[in-house]
Amino acid sequence: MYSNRYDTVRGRWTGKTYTLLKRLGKGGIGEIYLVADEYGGRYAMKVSQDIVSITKEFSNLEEFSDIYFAPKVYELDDFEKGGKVYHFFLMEYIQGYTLRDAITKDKLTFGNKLDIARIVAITLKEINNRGFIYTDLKYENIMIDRKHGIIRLVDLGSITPIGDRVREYTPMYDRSKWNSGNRKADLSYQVFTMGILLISMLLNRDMNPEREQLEKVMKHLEKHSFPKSLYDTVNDCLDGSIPDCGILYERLGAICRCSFAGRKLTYVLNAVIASLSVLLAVLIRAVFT
Amino acid sequence: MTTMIESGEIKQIIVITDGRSNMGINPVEAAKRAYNAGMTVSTIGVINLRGSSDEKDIEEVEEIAKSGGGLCEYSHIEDLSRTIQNLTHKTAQRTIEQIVSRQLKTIVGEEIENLEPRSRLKIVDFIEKYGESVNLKCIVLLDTSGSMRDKLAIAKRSLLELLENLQGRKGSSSIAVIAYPGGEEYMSSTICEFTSELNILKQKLEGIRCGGGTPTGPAIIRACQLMEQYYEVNSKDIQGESEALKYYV
Repeated sequence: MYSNRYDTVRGRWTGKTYTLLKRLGKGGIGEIYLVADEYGGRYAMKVSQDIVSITKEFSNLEEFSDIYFAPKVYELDDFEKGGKVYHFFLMEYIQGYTLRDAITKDKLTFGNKLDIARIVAITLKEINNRGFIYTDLKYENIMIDRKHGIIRLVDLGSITPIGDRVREYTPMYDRSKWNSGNRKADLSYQVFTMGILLISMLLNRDMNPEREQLEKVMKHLEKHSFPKSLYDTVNDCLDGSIPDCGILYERLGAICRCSFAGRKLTYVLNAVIASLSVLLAVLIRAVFT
Repeated sequence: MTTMIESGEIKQIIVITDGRSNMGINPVEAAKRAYNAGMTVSTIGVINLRGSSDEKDIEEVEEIAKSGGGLCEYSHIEDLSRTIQNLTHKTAQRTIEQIVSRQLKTIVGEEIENLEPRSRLKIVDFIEKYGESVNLKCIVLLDTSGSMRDKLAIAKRSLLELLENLQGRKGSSSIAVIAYPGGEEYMSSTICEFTSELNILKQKLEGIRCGGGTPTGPAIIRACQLMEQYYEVNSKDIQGESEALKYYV
């Protein structure tokens, strides 16, 4: 919108003024700024000239205001700047980082990844239970809230009633782009996005449906030594055999427990091997002296 | 100006180009004519990776959309599919928004922007629902000049995906494709007349070849005529939607 820092804007309906501190990001329909109100309170402000999208997203956020994962939303208003009318809403400023940052900087362990996937799955299930699909799932929309220590979903602009067509999506997560089905917002579309999220986390990279085929991507995944049950679960996400995110959550839980048990077993085996080699060394020494 | 929805349908022209017009009538002028005839002209500027797009190119795509009452987006060829779907949807929504706003003014004496923000919710819902259910006629003008040669495959696929995506709407949608440059007096060729059938579109798109200049203006005029021809042949009644609105407001 503009680049000047510390610009102030005045809400047309409330008369409140806000100082723009910095730009936090740019989405499909507008920009998000970190702003301070007259009392120094900090908020994230989503601004756009698109009245329909801003109003709609505001009402989506209000719809989910009682659930922990969605940012709290406060005001819907307009301001004028440079002869143009902008529409905005204020929401909670979430201090933290996106899953994209976490993946690239933090080097997540296998266990971390499974845990994150489970939390995202159960969050999506809650949205689905209310009759909506979160179509634009991606790293950038999943935030790790440092202050509260929880995972949250931001940008609820893509929330679509079950049965409608998908309008907001990112090609990598889109079932239709991978020639694996249509672009209808249904439960299996949601599970498909989870399947892609899992693959991308496990392979530690983005995929490109214009250049890759899903079968080949799965072949790559197979080469890694992930538990067979995880590979099967991902596969079932992609071909629609997992009906909803609740089932996915349970299956991921079973894998977590399994791999934890597996880890325990390796510890025991390692200990056995170590003691055996010590014994062998002692024996060899006894024989040769 | 004639109403934007005649016959209860939204009429859009979408120009996909990677360069500046260099033949025939000024495209900004042509877009204005289309707008005055009840259509919107939106543009997608395909960004050249090798940096051969200059500022004047960008200015022109923006100017065309502005005088055509549409929207303008830029896209890398790889992202064209999503951009064109978004743009089609947003343009339709904006057309409806303008109509609704005008209607509101006659019914309650205010435009949507002058309503208290929370009371806009219902109207926004209406715009969204109506946007999904109204019939849509969309002509895509595809720049097939020499510079588009290596982008053509993706562009074709994007058009198929657009139609596939539009089929998910509740209202009927059909698209037509005009490639320019082309033969005849309008320096463009109608590749595909209005169709809702993926197979037909796919088959017709096979015939596109690249090469030549960029007569954007003449192509827009050609699109206007295609649209008008269609309505001369298939004239329908106009009433429906303003009735629906009164019910809502």
